[in-house]
Amino acid sequence: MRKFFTILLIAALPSLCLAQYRCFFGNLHAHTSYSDGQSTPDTAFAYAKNVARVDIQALTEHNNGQPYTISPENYQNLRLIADTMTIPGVFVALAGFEIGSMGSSGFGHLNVWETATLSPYFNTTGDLLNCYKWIKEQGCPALFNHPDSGRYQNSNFNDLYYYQDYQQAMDLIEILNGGTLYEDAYLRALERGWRLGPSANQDNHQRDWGNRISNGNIPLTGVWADTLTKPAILEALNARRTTALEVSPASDRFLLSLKVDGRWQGSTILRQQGEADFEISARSDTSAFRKIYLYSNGSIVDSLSPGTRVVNWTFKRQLKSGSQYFFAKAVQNDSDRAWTSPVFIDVYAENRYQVYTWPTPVRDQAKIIYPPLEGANQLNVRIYDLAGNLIWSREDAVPGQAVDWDVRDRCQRPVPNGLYIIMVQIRSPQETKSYSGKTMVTR
Amino acid sequence: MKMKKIVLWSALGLCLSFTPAAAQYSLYWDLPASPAGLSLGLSSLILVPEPEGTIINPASLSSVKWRSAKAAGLQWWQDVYAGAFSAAIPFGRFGTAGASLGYWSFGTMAGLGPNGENLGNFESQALLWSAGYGRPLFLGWSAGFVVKGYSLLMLERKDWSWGGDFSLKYDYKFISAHILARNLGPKYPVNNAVKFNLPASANLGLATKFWQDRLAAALMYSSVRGLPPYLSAGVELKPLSFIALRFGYDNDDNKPERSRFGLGLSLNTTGAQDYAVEYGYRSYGALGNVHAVSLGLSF
Repeated sequence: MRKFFTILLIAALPSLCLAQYRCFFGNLHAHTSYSDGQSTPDTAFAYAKNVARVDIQALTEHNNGQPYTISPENYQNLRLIADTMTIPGVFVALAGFEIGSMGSSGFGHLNVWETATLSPYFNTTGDLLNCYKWIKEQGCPALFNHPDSGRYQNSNFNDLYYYQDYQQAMDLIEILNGGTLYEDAYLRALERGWRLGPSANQDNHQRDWGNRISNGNIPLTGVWADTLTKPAILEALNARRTTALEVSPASDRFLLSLKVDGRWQGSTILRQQGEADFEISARSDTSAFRKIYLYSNGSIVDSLSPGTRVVNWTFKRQLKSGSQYFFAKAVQNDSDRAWTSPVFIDVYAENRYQVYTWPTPVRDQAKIIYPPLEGANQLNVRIYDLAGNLIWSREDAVPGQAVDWDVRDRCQRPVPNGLYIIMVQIRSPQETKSYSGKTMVTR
Repeated sequence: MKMKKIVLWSALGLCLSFTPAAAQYSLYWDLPASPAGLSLGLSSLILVPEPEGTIINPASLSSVKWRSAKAAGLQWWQDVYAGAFSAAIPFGRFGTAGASLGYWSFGTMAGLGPNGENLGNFESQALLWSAGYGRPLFLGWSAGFVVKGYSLLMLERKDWSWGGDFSLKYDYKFISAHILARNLGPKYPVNNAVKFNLPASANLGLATKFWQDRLAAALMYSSVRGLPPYLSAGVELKPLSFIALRFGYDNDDNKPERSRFGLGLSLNTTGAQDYAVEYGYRSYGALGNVHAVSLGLSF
């Protein structure tokens, strides 16, 4: 019997590794009278489920100390109502809140979902890093809301400045909020270094949760998860597995997804130079796809004009060394659009060294490249100077991803020019491997 | 003898001609470049008589009684190698002068540009130099100084800088006390807009010898700017007149991989011409092992 189950497990492994996800459509940004919107959370969730017929509805009440801010008691009520209204396989209700402020001394608005308690107020420009820090500590998914200071003053998070230490805090960015497009901000955030998925939301303040029409379209976020349950949806948001889209009419739903080397959008891949397998899939019951674009590092690098309602675009693409991202954008004949989250790829050139930095020599920022290990779950990186002094270490790095080094020591002081030794230890449940390499800092 | 003089003066001249040449401890890395420095750590500064120990503890130059020259080679880890040459010449009551020249090869690296482009393989090196002078003062006191510098050759740029060490020594019977101020000078590199403070250090040490110099021991307290202070200790044991065994220890917690213990061996002839072959070893744990050998001559 044990042998039978072993064979069964081995047979199941490939499918576990290449998980298949379904797209669930939701609205991740909305309000009720618990802050500055209308009606109550139970009414809002019921409307979203029964009238708008979305799979996921989040209520994200303001938490900023203004007179309309949500109280701690109401937040706990909201959580309770969201749990009650969630029906696994049918509908997921998320309780969240919107942090921050805009205006002369603010930094913007952020959504977080399903934290145990409300955050402190983070309202001034100087609170931004504390806000990132608080979100990172919660481990909850988080979203940059309407990130453009052209529309609201001081609402673009210090021009989306990238803080390496807080990469793990943020997962998504609104590319659509109501009828306003923030595609430039999405591209800018990715160029800055953030690794984010796109989200399209309605920011409802009236009784139209899930089907608010703006400029003739309804923004929705497609969340790629294995089941329609709250844990699966939260995992997918944390993994940036999203497709932002606009639909019309209200019943319209269509799909757009991207895989590279079998890895889903939102993934980070560390690999050697060479050809990668791309797979872009799109499907719609209502309108053909006029154009599908492939974006990489801020610009369109390929496109397809399918003219059909079902597209399965597979191709190979040569990857050069360095960090790059790819995402797909689709435009339908009825002008509805969709954007996938990127696949982030750190590519290292083949050479005789196992561990090195990109770039070499290093100036202000470096990515540490190392050989991947299948099934790795722990990664430690240490940097020494030539005398053996421990300069910098990272004990909680994510296996499979390049490790960022800001070329500073443990006391956050820039390190002097010279030779540095990099030690990498990577572990999987089966084995532990150690690699070493060196790099040169030159300023 | 005449030939040896020519060799020695030539070596010294070579050292000095290199805009002034390699300290045993580099300006900011404090890397040992000799078997004694490797095995004994910083305690070699006050324990090993000549010439490398004295170059970096210039007050001890005053006690060098013989013309000396030494060539050392190191195998570091990660394809890094080093070589050093040092020499000292006594001038009687006018004191003793010494100099050294060192070279570090950091091996080959693969260049990778900002956009991921292949920049090809490149090599980098460092040149280090020092020149020092020490002389007896009065009532057992001696003093000395050394000027030292380096040049770091990297892809697309070259850094250089300089600094100095000062030391005082007091001899009382079989005990000597040492005060050293090391790595004093301008911020480095002097030719770069991004500058750093030198790791200036204050060092206090005691050294002693027993049993007709068959057992020597040293203890040094080092306080380096910006780092926790630490202790270095070294013992040199001569079971026979031509062999010396060296054991070093330090509690420098900034180097977690480096073994706290170092080992060394010296074989030497005795007489008018004294040849010495030395070996030093220290483990740097996961980083690798370091071996050093040297050939020295005194006459």
